[in-house]
Amino acid sequence: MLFSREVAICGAAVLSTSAISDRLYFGMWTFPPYQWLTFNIAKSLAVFYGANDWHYYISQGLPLLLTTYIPFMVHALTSITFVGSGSPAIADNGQIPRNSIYNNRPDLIFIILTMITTLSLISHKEVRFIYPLVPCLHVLSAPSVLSFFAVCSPRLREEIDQSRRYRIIPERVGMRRRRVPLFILLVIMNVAVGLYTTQVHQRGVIDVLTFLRHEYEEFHMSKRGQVQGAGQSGEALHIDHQGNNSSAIFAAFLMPCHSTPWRSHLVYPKLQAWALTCAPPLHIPASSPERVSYRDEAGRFYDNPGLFLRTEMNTTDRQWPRYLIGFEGIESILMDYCGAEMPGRRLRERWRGFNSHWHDDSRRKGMVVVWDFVDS
Amino acid sequence: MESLAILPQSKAAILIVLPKLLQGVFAAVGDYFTWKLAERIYGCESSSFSWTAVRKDPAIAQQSKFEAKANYGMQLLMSVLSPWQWFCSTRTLSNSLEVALTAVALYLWPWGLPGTLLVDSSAKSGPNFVPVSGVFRSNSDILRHVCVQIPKARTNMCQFPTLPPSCRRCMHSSTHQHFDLVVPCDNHNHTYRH
Repeated sequence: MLFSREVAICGAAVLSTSAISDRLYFGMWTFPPYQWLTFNIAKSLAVFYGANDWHYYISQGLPLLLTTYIPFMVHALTSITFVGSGSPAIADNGQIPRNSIYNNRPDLIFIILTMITTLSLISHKEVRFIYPLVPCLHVLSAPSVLSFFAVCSPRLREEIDQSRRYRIIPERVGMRRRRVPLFILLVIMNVAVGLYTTQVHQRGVIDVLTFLRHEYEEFHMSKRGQVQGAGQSGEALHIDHQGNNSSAIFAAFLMPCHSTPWRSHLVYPKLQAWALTCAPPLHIPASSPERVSYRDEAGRFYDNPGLFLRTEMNTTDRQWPRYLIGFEGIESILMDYCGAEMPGRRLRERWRGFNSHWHDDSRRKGMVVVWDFVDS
Repeated sequence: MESLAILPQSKAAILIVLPKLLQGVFAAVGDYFTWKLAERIYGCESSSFSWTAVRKDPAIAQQSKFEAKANYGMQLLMSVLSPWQWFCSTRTLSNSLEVALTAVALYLWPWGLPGTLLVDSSAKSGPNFVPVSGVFRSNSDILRHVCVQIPKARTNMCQFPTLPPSCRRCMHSSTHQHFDLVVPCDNHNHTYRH
């Protein structure tokens, strides 16, 4: 009773809210989960974003999510109790008793296993797809971490710790003395990985946008950011100091697609920019020869940069910009191209920023560089 | 008045920072509800002991509280120190919001619905049961069997080591009420021996 009531009321509420908001946003009735299934599975377009081994989530996904917690998670998953997770007991009046208790840990494990199994069936895999499992995993692993490093008992000091094997901390939790160094090591490792990945690794692709934003302000705005007489509208000055029209392309990113943030950092609406895309071939039917040989923009560029620059640049879609941004790997190619194809002009390095010590994508290795064109 | 007008430069800076701050709030909500979830699963807030039988045995009551707090305290520490959470939870990815919402949903989820093992606190406790928050209605024998058979019902990783095996607490409450459950035991007065 209660179950069907919850399902009916909550389910209907969620589905109708979803349907109405999608109607308002897309302007037509649509059901995104179904679209998601057709796009990813039926048309198998997800594979254009990369294909991974079936064991990716187990061999790479979970280790990335949990890092040093992995052994504890294994212990937690193998030592879980099913006590208290059995079938329901309904009171005589057909209601669930108010003071019911329930062990939901097996359910959490079921959630984890179902999600990983289902997503493993799809060839395109990303860690972020299983990221929502992190709360479950942390909650389930916590007792294992605790029991590995500590015991807790109100009689710890009096009865258990006569051999002084524990370092008593408040609430009568006793750290196992011999494992304290390991605990400190784990904390240091976690903090080190956290700091490195957030402060050092791949910072260039974000830093470069700060540089570009300030350059744009320098070019296209007065110090007050306002055109004379523009009042308080705050509209930017659209003609820069050199008389260039600001509708020209300001920045172009010759990088693998989605290498940098986009409008979250390039917030000026008038700032024109383009980047190589990796749009999937929506228009080409699956398992056709065109589909097999399809290469997206970024793919075409990295297949043969010289050819791409000669044939696909300077079109209406892709004009040469004021600033060209790329990883340092393409520097020599750009220099060669400019030397050969752009008489009287020279490529100049304007900015160079550290990005990563190593990268799993060879195209993204090295510094992030901003070039502009000057007369030679 | 002119000085109050926001410069586009400042507006741009705000537009860049504001979503990050908002995502920081989402991340904090996610961490908070993950902690609440751990508390709901492992925890017995002190108020819930007021009428439970566990309360009558201060040793077990204290023990439960230590374990519970230590367990969900450890969970919180894990979330705080998790490199992945550092890396990802404050990023404006839809997946990061999804994680926060998942944590909230898991905490609010009516786990007491079908598929549950229930305790009815209104039922009278049998003579050879520790009079706890309730007894298992039809499943008590099964539960007792399971608890004795499973050598280590390791729901609580730091069980009180001196409890007789059949008296070990099997699990904590996971309801809003935070009731506690004690496994059927042979007598009312435990004697703790090494």
